[in-house]
Formats: sequence, C-alpha cells, structure tokens
Amino acid sequence: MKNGFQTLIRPVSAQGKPVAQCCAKTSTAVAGCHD
Amino acid sequence: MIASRHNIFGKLSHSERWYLVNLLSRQADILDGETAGAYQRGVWGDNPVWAEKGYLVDPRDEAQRYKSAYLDFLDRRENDEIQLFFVPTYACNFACSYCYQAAYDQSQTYPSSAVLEAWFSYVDQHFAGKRKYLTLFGGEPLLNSAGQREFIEAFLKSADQRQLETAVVTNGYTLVDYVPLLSRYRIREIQVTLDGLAAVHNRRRPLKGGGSSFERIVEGISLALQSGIAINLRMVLDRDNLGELPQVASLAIEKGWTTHPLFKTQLGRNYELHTCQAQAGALYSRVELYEDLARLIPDAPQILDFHRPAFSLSKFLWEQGELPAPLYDSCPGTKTEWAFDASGKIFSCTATVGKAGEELGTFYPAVTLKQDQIDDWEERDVTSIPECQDCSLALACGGGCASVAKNQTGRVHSPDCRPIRELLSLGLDLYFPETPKTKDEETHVDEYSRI
Repeated sequence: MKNGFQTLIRPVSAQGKPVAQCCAKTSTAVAGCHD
Repeated sequence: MIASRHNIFGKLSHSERWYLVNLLSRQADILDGETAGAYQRGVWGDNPVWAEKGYLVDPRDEAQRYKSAYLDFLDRRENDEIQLFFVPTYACNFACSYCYQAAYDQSQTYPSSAVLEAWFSYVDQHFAGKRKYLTLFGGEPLLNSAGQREFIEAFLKSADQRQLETAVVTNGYTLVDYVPLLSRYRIREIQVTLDGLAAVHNRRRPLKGGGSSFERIVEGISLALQSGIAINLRMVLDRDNLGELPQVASLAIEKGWTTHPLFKTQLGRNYELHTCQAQAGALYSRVELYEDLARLIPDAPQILDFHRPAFSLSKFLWEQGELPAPLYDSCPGTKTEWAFDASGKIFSCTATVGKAGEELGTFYPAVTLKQDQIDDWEERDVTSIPECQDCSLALACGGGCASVAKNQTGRVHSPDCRPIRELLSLGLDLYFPETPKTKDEETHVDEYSRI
C-alpha cells in the first residue's frame, strides 16, 4: 500500500515487457461467447 | 478535474478492501478503507495519485482519449481473425436436458457437394485477405453415418486446400471413431462437453432413446490428446451439477489431461437463450454462478488446476499484471464471427444460427444479403447502444451479447449487461487475497509488494 493504493498492475521492464508473465494458455472462443 | 466516468469502484466481497479499476487509463488498484472513503466523498486532498492514474481527469482530455482508444479498437478488430461456423446438420444423437435447438429441424441429412462448394466459394470471395478459421458446429457435426463421414472428409479437404484450420464443436460421442480421420487434417481444436461424472453427465446428456455417453467421451478426449489434437473441454453448469466440478477436475488431473499442453477448459452457464427451460429453478444468474464458484474453490482447490474462472477482469489482471484494452464491443457477431447452415442460410453467430427470422442472407442457391440488417449488427457497440452511454462499466462489459439483448428488448442496439462490479468483487478477493494461501498467490503478492 502506497498513499492508500496497492497497484494491481505489474511493473514493465526496460524492454517494455511485463516483468512476470503467467503461462496462460491462449483460449480460442469456440461457441458460448454469448454468455 | 473530476472523477473519470470510466472508474469502476467497489468493495471486495469478503474483506474490508476496495477496488478501483479504469480501463481507459489501464489502471487497477486495491484501496484501503480511508482512501476508499475519500473516493466516495469526492475528497481528493493533495494526493497526486488520483490524477496520475487517470481516476481524476479533465473531461475534455478524457473524451479525446476515449475516441482515440475507440479507433485503436476498430483497427485491431479489422485485423482480427474471423471464425466461420458451418452447421452441416441440426440433427443430434443426444437429448440434452437443456438443448436450445430441440425445436430446430433435426432431419438427418448432410449437405450436398453443391452446398459445400457454394460455401467455400462464398468464404473465398467474402473473406478474401482476412485471417480466418472454420468451425464445424451442429446439431452434432460428427454423426457416424457413412454420408456424414464423407461430408466431414470433403469439408476438411477443402479447408486444407486453402490452408485453413478447422475447429469442431461436438458432444464427443463419436470422437473415438473420428480421431483417425481428424488427425490427418489441420484441426485447431475440438470442443467437447462433460457435465459431471458418469451418473450426472448421463442424466443431463443422454443418448437419444437413453444410454450412457460418458465413458466414450472420456476415451475420445484421451485419444485425441494422444493423437496431438487439442481439446477444449466445456462443462455447462447449473445448480444441478456445480457440485460435480471438483470431481471432473480430479478426473482431468488423474487422466493427465490438465498437464497436457493441448488441453484447455471452459465453464459455460446453463441459461435460457431463446426459449424457457423446464428446470428453470436450477438455472443460475451470472452473479449466482460465480458466487457459488467462489465458495466452492477454497474447499476444492483442484478446480483451479482444471480451470481458472475469469471473474470479469480479475483473472486477466492476476495472470498478465495489466488490464486488457478497453472493450467497446463484446459481441463478435457479423464482425469476427459468422455462421452458416446446410440450407444455404447466413446468420450472425452461433446464438442465432438456425433460428427462424434471424437469417441475414443466403450463400446457396444464390448469394443474397439483407444489408440493412447486417449493417445494424455491424454497427452495434457501446458507442451505438443508448443505455451504454453513461455506464461506467461499458468498457469492461462491451454491451454483451446482441442476440440475448435482441431477445430481451427486440432491438439489436440494446445491452445485455454483465455484472462487472459483482464479479470483480468476488474475483479480486479470490486472486489477490490479503493473506496468500498458495505458493502461486505468495509469488504474486511478492511481485506486487515490490512496486
């Protein structure tokens, strides 16, 4: 907490990429997007 | 300076913490009680963070950024991959208790070669130069008759000639029989549904005329993965089977599916799309489903190895450490999705395909387009829906599903509102706990605490 705020945005490295990335599987929307 | 009209503010569901999220400035914070109180009272004091993070804005400057982000959104979508669904038949070998297509014409025919040629010709002409992939949908596209197998092979060959991938949405019953054929072509993924372990699944998704489908589906999933075909396992949830989720998760773990790189999952909600269901009392609202999921997960943490529910933006924030781009439109219909059936009709999406009165044209026997109606669909986004204009949730919700909205109001340009605030309350509490319980959570909290 800093000044009452705890950011949920992770810092970006000098290369412009997030410091930590989760290994999320990419998701293909196959049907069901209407909910 | 005033509070941004895109601020999304709320309290975490089970702690004295608050959240503030803004998709236009791409900021998200947990607030302590004192800071949340100041926000609610509109007392900004001399804390520069409000303005630095775009929670406090010059409205003219924000209006400019809103327009600029909208143009970026349109640019991105213009270059998005398009998903083209084809329904060879509405016939099905299952009698699912919640089928929304039960009243559709289920005669067991398969498309003629003339229809197939006309469809690929339409795809070639109308989606030339676009990134795209195809999806076989139903009914059940993988019925195991000789004619249907012949059609599926002809379809996959035509896709292959164009170097296009095909996904398949199937109930999974004949997957064991089809894997040898499918593994010879470019298959993006196979979506299969399991609604529980054998007893519950078979009660909800029996064969027509009765009979078990569970064991064959499980066998088909394992065989597909062994054969290098991606599986997207869907579970359709309501109050009747949510309790099965921990067991299905355990089954997927035991079978080695969850550690397979080609395995992914989705949780669907059972809901009334076009018609009422007999067991309406078992249906969840969106909030109710996620409330019960949030309650279930601490007692059955294996669920998270099987599937991490999105809880609106919560999972994305937890996984990516940033917010996604503002969502000016969450409905892909006629923009990045179209659906077609064997009668030669064109529809906006999988929700409308096959529903009488929703046709937007034909690709066979001749190409005809209801351009006024297509324009109506294509122009729908949060900038065109009156109810979205003053909604702070608009850039997280995207206006929802056009088909559901039209069913409710009779207008395409009306909203299907998503309970963003409630989902963030539940999801941020789950993924960003005050006291981390798992190693994953500890790692994340450690990363954030360094900021």
